[in-house]
Amino acid sequence: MGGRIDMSGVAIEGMSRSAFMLRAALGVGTLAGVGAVQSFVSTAFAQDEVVSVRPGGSRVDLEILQFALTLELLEAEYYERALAEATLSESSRELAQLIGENERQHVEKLKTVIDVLGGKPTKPPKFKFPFSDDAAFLELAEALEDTGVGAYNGAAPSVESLPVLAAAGGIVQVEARHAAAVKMARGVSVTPAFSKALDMDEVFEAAGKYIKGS
Amino acid sequence: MPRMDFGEGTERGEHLTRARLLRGTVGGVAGGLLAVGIAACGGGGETDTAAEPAEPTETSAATDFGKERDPFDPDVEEAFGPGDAGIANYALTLEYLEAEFYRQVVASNLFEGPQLALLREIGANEQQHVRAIKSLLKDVGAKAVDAPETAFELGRAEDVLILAADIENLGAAAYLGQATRVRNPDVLKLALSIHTTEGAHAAALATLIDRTITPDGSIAAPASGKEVLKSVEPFLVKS
Repeated sequence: MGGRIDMSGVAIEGMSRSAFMLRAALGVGTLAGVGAVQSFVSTAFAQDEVVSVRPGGSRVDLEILQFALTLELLEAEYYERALAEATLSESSRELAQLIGENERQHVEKLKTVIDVLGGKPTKPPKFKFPFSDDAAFLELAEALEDTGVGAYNGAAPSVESLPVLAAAGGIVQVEARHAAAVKMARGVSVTPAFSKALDMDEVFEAAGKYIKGS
Repeated sequence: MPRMDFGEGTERGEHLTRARLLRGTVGGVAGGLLAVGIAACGGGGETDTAAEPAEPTETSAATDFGKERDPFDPDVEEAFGPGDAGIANYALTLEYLEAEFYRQVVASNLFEGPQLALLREIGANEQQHVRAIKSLLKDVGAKAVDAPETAFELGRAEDVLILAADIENLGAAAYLGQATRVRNPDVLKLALSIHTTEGAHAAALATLIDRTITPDGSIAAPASGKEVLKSVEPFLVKS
């Protein structure tokens, strides 16, 4: 165990850059326990993907939003499917319902902001999750929420426009709250003093592997 | 090359007291902008190098001044001085307050077992926040405010947990309220990292008192300096 959470059972099928990036982000989270600080960069995105920007809009912000949307789609579907397919304790069901509802609202919020910036929301990739028991559900939930916190915190310093920064800030705090509640349910330490930001350089490096392999 | 203005911190040795806070005489009056040049590449160098896309788009104002940010919070500036240093000293004051609160809570014998362990963990986090913010202020050549004189009434254990959750919710909202105003990327990174930790504390405490982990719903709400400073008034000793 060693605190590491195996997310290799999570399958993300989709050819969008965001889907590749997300697979990579989860891989990095697994390896590094969601470590190190860097911010998103735009170079890893192809010119073709869903990154059309209204004049004056920020391309960087749109890229960040698309990635965040992909992550939120994954989270929303995780809780939905867990409720439908996994054997959960009563308290885990309640948690999955609450968190799942929040994630759906995050998806809607991000779509709205993407629209404001003149972009077109990325298509949801197909996800597969390994469901076994309650403990496994909570373990993976913790990893996903921590990844969310790391991704938003890593991206935020690169954000250029106010509505995007404000939305990301309001969302990331809720992701951190989810993570803490899941950790309380698991009986593990709630948070380090400083939430980690995802190292996106590592993510890109890992993403290259997926892109070539697909 | 982006440059940052850091407002000068509070006069050394000056305690932030409730009265001073209300009069707004701390910090800002000392006046004088201390302009500190901070290379955006410093510290987070690889980021910015890597973040530079090939094409010089409208974002090529990749300096942090090119980014859209809210104006500084007038109440924070009035109480703690201008600029990012004012924000940092505002945050430092809240962290001092939190750290002292948990010190007293842990020493109170009101708690044991897992609850005590959680309160200890949170308190240790707050102490680390204090150290990190002081260190950041030192790095940028700004003065750190002294710890305020505080007073907490610790009654029943459950009331203490409720108070703790309230304080964490307030802290998280305070950071969120400044996140769109911070200019310096290092200050922003630290603020974001602490922001989510405060949110995590709040949620963990909420589970102990059967409250919702997300009092604002799916998207957390920010709090202004005015709201926050008013809320912490009862814990600051009048001099």
